[in-house]
Amino acid sequence: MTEKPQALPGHETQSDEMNCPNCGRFVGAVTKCPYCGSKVEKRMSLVAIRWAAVLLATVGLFLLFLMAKHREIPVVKLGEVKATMNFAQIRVDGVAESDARTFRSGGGMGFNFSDGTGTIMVFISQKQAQEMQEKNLVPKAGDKVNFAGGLNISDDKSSMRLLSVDEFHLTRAPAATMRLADITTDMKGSSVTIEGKVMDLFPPPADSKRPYALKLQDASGEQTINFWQTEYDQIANKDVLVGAYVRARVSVASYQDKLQLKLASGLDLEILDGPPAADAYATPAQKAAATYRKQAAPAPRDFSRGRSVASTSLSVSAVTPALKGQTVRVRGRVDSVRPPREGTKQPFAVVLRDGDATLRATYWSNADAVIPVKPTPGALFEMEGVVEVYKDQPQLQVESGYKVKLVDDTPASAPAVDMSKAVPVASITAAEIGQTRVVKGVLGAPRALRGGVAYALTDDTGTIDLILWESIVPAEVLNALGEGASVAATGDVGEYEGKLQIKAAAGYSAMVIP
Amino acid sequence: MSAFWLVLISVTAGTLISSVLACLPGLHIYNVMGALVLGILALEGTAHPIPPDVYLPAFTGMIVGWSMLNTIPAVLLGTPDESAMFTVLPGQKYLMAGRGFEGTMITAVGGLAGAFFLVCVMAPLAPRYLPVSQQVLKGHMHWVLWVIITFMLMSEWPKGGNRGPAGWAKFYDAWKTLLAGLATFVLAGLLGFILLTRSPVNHEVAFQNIMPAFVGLFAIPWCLLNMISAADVPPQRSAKSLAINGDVILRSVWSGGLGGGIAAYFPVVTGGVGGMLAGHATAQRDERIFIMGQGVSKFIYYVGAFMLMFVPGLNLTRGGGAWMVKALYTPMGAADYYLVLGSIAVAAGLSYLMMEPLTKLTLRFIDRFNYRHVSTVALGIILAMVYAVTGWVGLFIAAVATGIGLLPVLFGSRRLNCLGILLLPIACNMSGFGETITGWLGLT
Repeated sequence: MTEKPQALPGHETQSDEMNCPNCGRFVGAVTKCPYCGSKVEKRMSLVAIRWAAVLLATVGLFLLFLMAKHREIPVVKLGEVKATMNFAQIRVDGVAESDARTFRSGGGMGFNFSDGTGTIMVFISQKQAQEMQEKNLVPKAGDKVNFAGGLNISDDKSSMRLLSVDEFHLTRAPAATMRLADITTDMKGSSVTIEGKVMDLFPPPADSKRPYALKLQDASGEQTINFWQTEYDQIANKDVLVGAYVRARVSVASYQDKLQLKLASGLDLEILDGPPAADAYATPAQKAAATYRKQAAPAPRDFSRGRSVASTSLSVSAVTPALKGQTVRVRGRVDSVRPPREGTKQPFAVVLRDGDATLRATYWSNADAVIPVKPTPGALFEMEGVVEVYKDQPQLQVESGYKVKLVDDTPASAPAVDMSKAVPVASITAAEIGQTRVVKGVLGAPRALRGGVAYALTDDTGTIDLILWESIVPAEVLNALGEGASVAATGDVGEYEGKLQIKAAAGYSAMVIP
Repeated sequence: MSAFWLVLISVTAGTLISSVLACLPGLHIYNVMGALVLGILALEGTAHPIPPDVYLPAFTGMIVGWSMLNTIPAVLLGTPDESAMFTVLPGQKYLMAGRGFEGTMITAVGGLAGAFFLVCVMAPLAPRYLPVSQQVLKGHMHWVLWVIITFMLMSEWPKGGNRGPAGWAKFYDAWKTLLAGLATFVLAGLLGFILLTRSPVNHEVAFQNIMPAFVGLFAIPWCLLNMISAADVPPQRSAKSLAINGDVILRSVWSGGLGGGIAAYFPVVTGGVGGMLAGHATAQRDERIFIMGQGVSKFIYYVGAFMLMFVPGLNLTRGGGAWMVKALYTPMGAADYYLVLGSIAVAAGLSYLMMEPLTKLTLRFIDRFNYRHVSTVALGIILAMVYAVTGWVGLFIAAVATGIGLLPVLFGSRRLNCLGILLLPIACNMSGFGETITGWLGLT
């Protein structure tokens, strides 16, 4: 018979199974003494409750999971939301009050939602935003939406967080087909469908935060559609965009009191097989107005806009036989153009020049037929095609006329600024505001502006600010300027905060002089 | 009545009420505050709305009083909330040696030291430095959480496998507690994903979504264990002095302040986790420092987190109390900050004075009533409260959470692992793949 060990001082009153049978210390519920390692026998109840706990935890959790998964999320009106509903998952039904916009940090999106009884901001995570873009579910102002989300209520501002894209139901608001000239800032916040021919596409200059600008023209006029890189990437067949006829659903907005058309998703832009039907107008009045406007000749195309295209392409000299088989985009001035001889099936041959380097580019007649602006000697062109090698020399085989694009129709030899008209800076007065002047001088330190740059231009007589906007002055011109450079520039005289300035004109309005 | 007297009366009332409520085992002050929020909202728009000058100091007093006096049931009745789990072991030693009064009073001194540290040291520096640190750290919170989780799981040591022949039996013996800890963390995490993504709790009281789970994870298991295998409490004696000195207090403030500060500042990290990190970081071995440090840590965790909401230029919402008040009020500048700081100071002093009589009262109560019966009554109160706020669904969630909460207690692993309920889903969400997991689970 073994002797029962004596409990340690202070442990005497405990029941046997609370103390270690070996060392006598209090061990509570554990079955192995943490002090001496001896096994501590427990009554059945404690062992049973241990496994009951395991069962309860696992089976109960599974049942709770099933309950949560199959539970209908309650539909709640925003006007009925109370502070006690903080963190609740609710379903709402209403309309998007604003286009969903992407946040600069985090990559998520947000839009304002209203159900008629209240308004709330809805946040969408980056992952959900990507999924919604892929499924073309990004809401735009006026779209009907129904979704489940988590409420976040605070005293000053409340918001919802989208629970799942799968439970996001969207019905696009009907968008009237409009002529470009009929769209006004009064329609701000609405969505419209427009059709026309893409006259040009301006990518944002390198290192700028500006959007893409797509010039669209229909019989009534011309408008610019703005969108970001994300939307651009979504556009199908974007390589043939310039010169193509398209249909787009855009949101009407205004920026600095000017009309702005915004493409919320690249999937909303569709390239058409040919010109859109002429009678696609929402109302008879629009059709009548269109007929009236057709009497006026469309404005001649301003090719100078092409100058602002950022150079993301290769220079002529960079195209080498090593690139054989690769598709490249090349930019160079047209040295010569040779159409096929009559009665032959020869291709068109264009020689691009960049300094001493030349590159022969060829394309067939069917491609030439769709080139919006035909290459002419001296003009700067950009072409995209496959590099081939003939007699150890690289050639460019252009397969689509849409990939032959005018960049600058000003011959390189033409002086950009007529320096003979330069006037002394001191002679410019407030009376000349709005008039065009040419100035010559040395540039001071650059000052960054929102969307441009300012230099103090100094000549022998005085100093005046020279303002160059990124939107109208080509990037290559801006890049050529710098502190200490002698330049000639032309532009309108303006005034800002009581100081006169020269606002550089659009295009090649400033040049470095030796 | 002038604003001064209104605030003073409110903070006094809040402190006194919470001091008494803190002695009830298992009852969390946030549950009481939740009920009060419901009442305040119900009175909004009526002829008798409750102004912020009344409820802000009252809530501050309630949080201060509870964080200070909740030590009484934690040490004397063995029903700690999760932030006090480290206090229990040394606290229970004091109790079993008949020195429960001393144990609670040492913790209360820690709370008072925490109040001084918060009001006199942290408060003047917070408006200047915390907004900057928040700007720096806010993009890094996700990996900080993962590091904390990793440390929490990896720092649990095997409690068996020391003796016997090598083999699977010995391996299982060594890993049993660790596996139980990991299972607790994962199961609690899954429960968290369910409750944070698609809670079955009625949307009308969704602000108490997590409450039934917390009650089940921490309060109910202790009541059950006490009912089944409660130890008999030996006769207790009171003391006229405490075996502490300035050095002990300063070292306690150092370790406890660090732990409470981490818990208050980082999202989801609670007092228990903060205490564990600070315990490892400061390596204080003295039992008195351990107990007092937990008093400091608990005070700074609960009260400091609430205070962060009012720091001008920061407005950080941390802790259940701040989230509830956020639904009622948006802090507006320095005036609110001074209001809260003043309320903290007054409430801390008052609650410390309440500590001694209430501890003695509780000891007399323990003497008179059976410990098992006390635990049964406490369990009844807790269940009634869960049912009143969240209904049968809440009781079901509490039952499931109880199953998970019993695992560490019965298998000898850390109860901290139950915090997986918040740590796992929030860390996943902050890292950007929470939606992927809820997608796998079919919840979204």
